[in-house]
Amino acid sequence: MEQGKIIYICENTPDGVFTAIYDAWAARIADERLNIIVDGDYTFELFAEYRYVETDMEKAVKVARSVSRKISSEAYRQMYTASLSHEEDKIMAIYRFLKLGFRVGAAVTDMHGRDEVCRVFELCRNVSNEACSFREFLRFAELENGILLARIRPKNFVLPLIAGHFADRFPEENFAIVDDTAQMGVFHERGKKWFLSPVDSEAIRRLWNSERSQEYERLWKLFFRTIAIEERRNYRCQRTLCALRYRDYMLEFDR
Amino acid sequence: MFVVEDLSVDQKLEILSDAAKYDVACTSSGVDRKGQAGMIGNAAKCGICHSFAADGRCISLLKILMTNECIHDCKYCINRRSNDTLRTSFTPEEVCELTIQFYRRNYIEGLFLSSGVRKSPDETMEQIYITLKLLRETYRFNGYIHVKGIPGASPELIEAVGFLADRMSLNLELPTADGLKQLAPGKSREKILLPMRQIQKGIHGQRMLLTDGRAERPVLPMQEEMSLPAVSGRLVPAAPRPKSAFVPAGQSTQMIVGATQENDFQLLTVAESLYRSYDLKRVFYSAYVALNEDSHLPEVGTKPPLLREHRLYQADWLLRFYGFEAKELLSEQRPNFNVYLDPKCDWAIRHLEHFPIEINTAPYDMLLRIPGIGVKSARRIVKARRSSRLDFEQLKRIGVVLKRAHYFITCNGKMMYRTKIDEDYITRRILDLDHKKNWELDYNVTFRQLSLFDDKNFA
Repeated sequence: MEQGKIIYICENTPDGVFTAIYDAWAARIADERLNIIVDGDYTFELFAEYRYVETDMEKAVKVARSVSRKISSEAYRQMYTASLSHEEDKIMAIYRFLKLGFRVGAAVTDMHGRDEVCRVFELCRNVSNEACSFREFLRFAELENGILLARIRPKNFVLPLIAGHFADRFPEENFAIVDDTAQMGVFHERGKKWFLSPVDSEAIRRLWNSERSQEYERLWKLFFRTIAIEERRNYRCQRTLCALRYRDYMLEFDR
Repeated sequence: MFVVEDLSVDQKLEILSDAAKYDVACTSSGVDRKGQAGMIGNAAKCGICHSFAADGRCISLLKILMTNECIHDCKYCINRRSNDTLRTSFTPEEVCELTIQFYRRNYIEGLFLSSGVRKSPDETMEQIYITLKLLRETYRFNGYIHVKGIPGASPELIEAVGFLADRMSLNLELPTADGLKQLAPGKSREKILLPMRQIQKGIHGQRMLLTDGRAERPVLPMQEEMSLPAVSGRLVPAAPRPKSAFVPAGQSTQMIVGATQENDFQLLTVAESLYRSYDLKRVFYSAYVALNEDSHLPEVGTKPPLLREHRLYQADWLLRFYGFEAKELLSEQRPNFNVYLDPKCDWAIRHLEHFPIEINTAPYDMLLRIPGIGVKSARRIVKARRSSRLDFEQLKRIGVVLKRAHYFITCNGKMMYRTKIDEDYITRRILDLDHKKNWELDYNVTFRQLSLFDDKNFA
């Protein structure tokens, strides 16, 4: 009798993804029978065995450590970034990438002739590009008490990639960045380290809609309008460089 | 001149950003700096754009003038003395508040401060100095600052400002001394080049300190004619920077395109010598927007030459990153860029003897010369082919633009399609690809609108 598929289901965080990879690896399942997906909306397959993965920090750290040591830190960076992707095939892509990586070592990240390398590279590029865009386009609003609050609605889970940038830039500020998609937030208290935490979206909405200082928002909109050269107006170019999906919270585009 | 003293910050911002917008440089690149406790800000070498204005130009810095009062009467400039416009000035505190408050909301990457010349170059430069000192020391701003050097200001002031700014620029404005004399009677080539040389020496001197003079190249004597010997090899500072660096992101300049008769070859040759002999980080090109009435200038309302500006930027890129020289791209006999083809394609089509190039064996510098292959993809190709032979499918995933590149390359001896290495044939095919884009740039209409009255197929 033909052997059925085995499908691992894990939490959609780097820790969860790494744990699933660890478990699947340890179980030595043939590639063609294996699938690893994140918990959420998936189509149920008949005659497949489902295994739910319990996120385990120790296993996740083991994976991270051995990739960094036995392959390279660049391979680890790509794998970590790819694990933040919203694409369904990301975990299997990483799994196949690692299989090759453990065989060939640090050279793996240069092997653009191989499909498994290309795929992780593409996922990683997509996530990094989106992180860059939000580093540019997110806007803080100043609440009554001087706290800065920003909201973003990304496709990928980019918060861990942008948090460090803002914490480095604003060591003396109290700020929070909230991801509407993942319902997670980054919190930074003046002079302390930042941390990630799930957020209550209702509370965020209330905070976001509360009184806030408007003076500099008005001045920014004015500057944004004035700085454009009428004779060179080109909305298509503007849209190419700053896609509509980034503009949800960019106040200068409010009508 | 109507000088108004007691305007609100809103009104001042409107006037002084409107007056600053024709300066094109708005990049925040060239320096990496970590944040620091007790301060606000850091800087990223790649530069960060924060928004894009209705004209599609990036907004990275708060681009404003200190004042739009000016003693000069440069014909092309919107702030020239003879224009009847409202004049006003920011106080240093107002500039600092705006910068900090915009910065902490992540609207901007820093400040781009320029100025009209209110009383004298020194008085203006001093105001700029006071502002930057306040911003750095009292407001503890650690983000990016780009500042204009004022031609004619004393070397001491230029130096003092250089230690507070990340980038400094002096606008050459026009590529020839004659053009400058004609349009900017108050300025001279010398007044612009002198501080430019001083800034270069300042940066150079600092590098000398850091590298013990190793691998250093000589600073060339001041020359009125900017023809220069080719010197190769870039410097990389080996040691950590001292606490306060002198113009760490280097200097840049700007030339106006289309206000005078200079051709592309002149513009590009000047840019090339500026890169080589003045160590400039960037040369910016600004399509002239005809706003001023003057017999020496294009008529008011003339369309800014945007496609020409675009070609110059493309060529500038080829000089800086692709190993091209100005004389390979243009010549006395052919002094202007082909409007229809980008400079790289144009070069390739005129040098078909080098093509097709085999992707799996060609050296890196040749890969760089293939249309559709950029610096990043060329690097990836070189790395990837160490482990396996590459085919078109992999090139695509690496990021090569095949619809452009395929006319010029082979993978394992084969071309992608049965195409001819023939000048007319390739030109026609590539023109079809580019036609739409080029028209949009200059005429700002969509292809759909255009095709209604498009006659290219009848030609």
